[in-house]
Amino acid sequence: MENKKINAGITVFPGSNCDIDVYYALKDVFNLNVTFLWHKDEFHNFKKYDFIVIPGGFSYGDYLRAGALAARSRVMESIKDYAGGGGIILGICNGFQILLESGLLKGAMLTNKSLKFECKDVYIKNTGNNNQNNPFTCLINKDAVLRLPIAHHDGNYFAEKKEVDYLFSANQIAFQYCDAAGITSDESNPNGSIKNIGGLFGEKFNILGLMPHPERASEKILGSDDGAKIFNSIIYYVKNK
Amino acid sequence: MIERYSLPEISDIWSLENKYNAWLKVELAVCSAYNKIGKIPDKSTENILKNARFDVAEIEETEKITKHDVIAFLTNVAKYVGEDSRYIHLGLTSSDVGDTSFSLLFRQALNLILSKAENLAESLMQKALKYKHTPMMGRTHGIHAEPITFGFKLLIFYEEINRGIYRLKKAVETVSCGKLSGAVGTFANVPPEVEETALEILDLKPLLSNQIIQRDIYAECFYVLASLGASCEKIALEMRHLMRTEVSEAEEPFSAGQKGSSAMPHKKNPIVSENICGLSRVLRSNLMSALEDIALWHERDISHSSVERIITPDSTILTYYILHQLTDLIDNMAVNEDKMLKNMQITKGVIFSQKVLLAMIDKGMLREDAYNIVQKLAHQAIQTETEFVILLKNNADVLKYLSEDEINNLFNINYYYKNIDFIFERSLSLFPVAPSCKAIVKVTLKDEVLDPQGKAVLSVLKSSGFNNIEDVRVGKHIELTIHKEKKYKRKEEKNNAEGNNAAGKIKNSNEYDSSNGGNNKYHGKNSKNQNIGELDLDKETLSKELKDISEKILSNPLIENFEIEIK
Repeated sequence: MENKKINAGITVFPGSNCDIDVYYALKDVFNLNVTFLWHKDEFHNFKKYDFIVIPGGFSYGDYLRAGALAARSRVMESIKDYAGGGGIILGICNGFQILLESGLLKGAMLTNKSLKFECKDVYIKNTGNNNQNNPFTCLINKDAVLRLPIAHHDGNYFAEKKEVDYLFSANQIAFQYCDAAGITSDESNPNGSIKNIGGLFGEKFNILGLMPHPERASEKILGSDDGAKIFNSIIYYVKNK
Repeated sequence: MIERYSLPEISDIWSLENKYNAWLKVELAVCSAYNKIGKIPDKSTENILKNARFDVAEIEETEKITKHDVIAFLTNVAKYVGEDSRYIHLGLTSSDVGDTSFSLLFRQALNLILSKAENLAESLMQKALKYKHTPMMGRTHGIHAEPITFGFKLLIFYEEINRGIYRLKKAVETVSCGKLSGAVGTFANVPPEVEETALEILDLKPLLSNQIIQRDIYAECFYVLASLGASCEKIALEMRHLMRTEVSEAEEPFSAGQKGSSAMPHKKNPIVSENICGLSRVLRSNLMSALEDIALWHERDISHSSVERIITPDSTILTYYILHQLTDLIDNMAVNEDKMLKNMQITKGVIFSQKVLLAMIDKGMLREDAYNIVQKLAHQAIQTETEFVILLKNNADVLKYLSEDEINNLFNINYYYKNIDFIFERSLSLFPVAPSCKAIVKVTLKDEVLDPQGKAVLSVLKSSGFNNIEDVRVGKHIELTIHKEKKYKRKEEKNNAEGNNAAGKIKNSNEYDSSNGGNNKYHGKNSKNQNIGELDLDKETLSKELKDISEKILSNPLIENFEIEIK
């Protein structure tokens, strides 16, 4: 299967600002067929999209809570149905927040512990151990460390302890913030997330919420192409499913 | 009423089915009242309340034989109730049921009209605000007088419709009465306690009656409808004038495909306005008949009944239709602001004559002399189509008192608009646009969730010397303004149809006042009148809705708690 035959959708909300970055990466770097999905529109032809990316940004100005208003938009109603049918969804940064607010992922985001907008490269570790069976990390070794940029104010992931324990036991924790050597600690935690959680799977592993921006690290020229590993995984998975 | 003017929601009120429904409601309320004093056994009451129903077609068949509608109705209900039907209609006369249920139906119709009138008022206010600063000519006797704004004109309509709303609310209260006192009203065969209890169930007040409810009660309602119709007619008449070819300042909506005349393709006629003016005449004629229904023989004759069968559905249906049409007209009318300005100029500035007159008197000229000069020059301006200001500047007598600059300064249209803001403010405080209530939702992070903002504030407080502060949690305060009337009255109306009528929920102005802030002197003075018949806020429904909003959107229950306060 040629990459061109893979169809990706990118949602666009008022205030999305990484939609074009993701479009560029998917279309120009990975050569996919890419369509934008406007927040006011429903879509019903779920088969048309091999996967959908909810990009980063500040949808609705982060009013009320980051992602809260976008999660109630019309396109998200369709996305929920799409997810229910096993559709692959990658939520990046604000997209992660929207997935949490829409209930597709468990937990919530709080303001960064530093109370600052954190904009820097961080390391994350592939924590999940069923890599071969999910679209997002099937080409990434367990415990492999990726270097990706973050840019957010509300990335302090929170869930009750019981819930966090369950997520770990169900292998739903996808990525944890760590240092270059893969060690998780408070120092390597950029925002105060509980258990350094930086990426989270849905219970059927067809959804990934990810705080760092893989699209901003999809080519060497950008300083790191570790993000490409995630997109390549998705492409590989779509081709071989 | 002919179908052309009948909107289904109001004509349904006058359907046979709804009438029998109201009759049944009254009969059942009386049964419950008899049960309370031990006259009907519990078991029988239960059976009656459970099984009593009717079939319209069957009643019609029976009526052909009995020639009496109430008897035909009772025969039909008895068929479904069985033996216990002997307890139904105990000691009552037909008019007890007929009149009491008539009040229920009339009230139902008035409440529906009320909601339409409120829509019209809101539309008028919206347009009044939109055209608040749009200059147009004020005309008395059809002749140019002094400048006004189009919004000012609409604001007057807005206040007038609000007075109509006030009268409607009063009419709802007036019509909320019943009588269950037997053949000539002396409670000979029915104890007063039964009337009291049954009317309470129906949310009606008792009225001293002979055989029937006294007809001045209904005549008042017909007056309110005729008067509201006349106010609508006044607005429609204005529209017709403004739409005249020579004036062309406003225009009725003209939809694609609409045709004005079969003979003259160019025509766009003010047909909606003309229709309203015509129908309003019918409302006035019906009022005459309603007034004539007041005087009946002795303890009652039946000459009023045939009249009411026609005029009550007709007047309520027509008023509703008029309000519906007029609201659409106001919402969608075209306003030609340029033509309004142009028309002001056709009289060459003579509209400033009073200002010129006053200025000359102020400068010491005798009033009589000044009047003669100004009048002469003003008439000359129109006759010779010369600007009034130029004639003034060329007149030696005028120049003795006023310099050219002073004359120029007199021709300033804004002079007439200096109080427009005041006028609008006063109106809005007399008749607030959207009576609403406030709900406050406080969202706070749950105790177990770390609040870094709170921690930051705490550290600042401590470093500022407030050492006794132990902890700080920062939250959100969200204020929701809820449109009380629009949102919650419909539920009440629905209840009306089922018999839980509004009267019991009518309340005094106090609470309503506080929700409107009492933020100015005008409001306080008039609030009492305005709020007669104000329907209570359905707090239970509102609380449920607010809880839903708070849980689903305003807070994230995983990390946040919320508190709701309704003001």
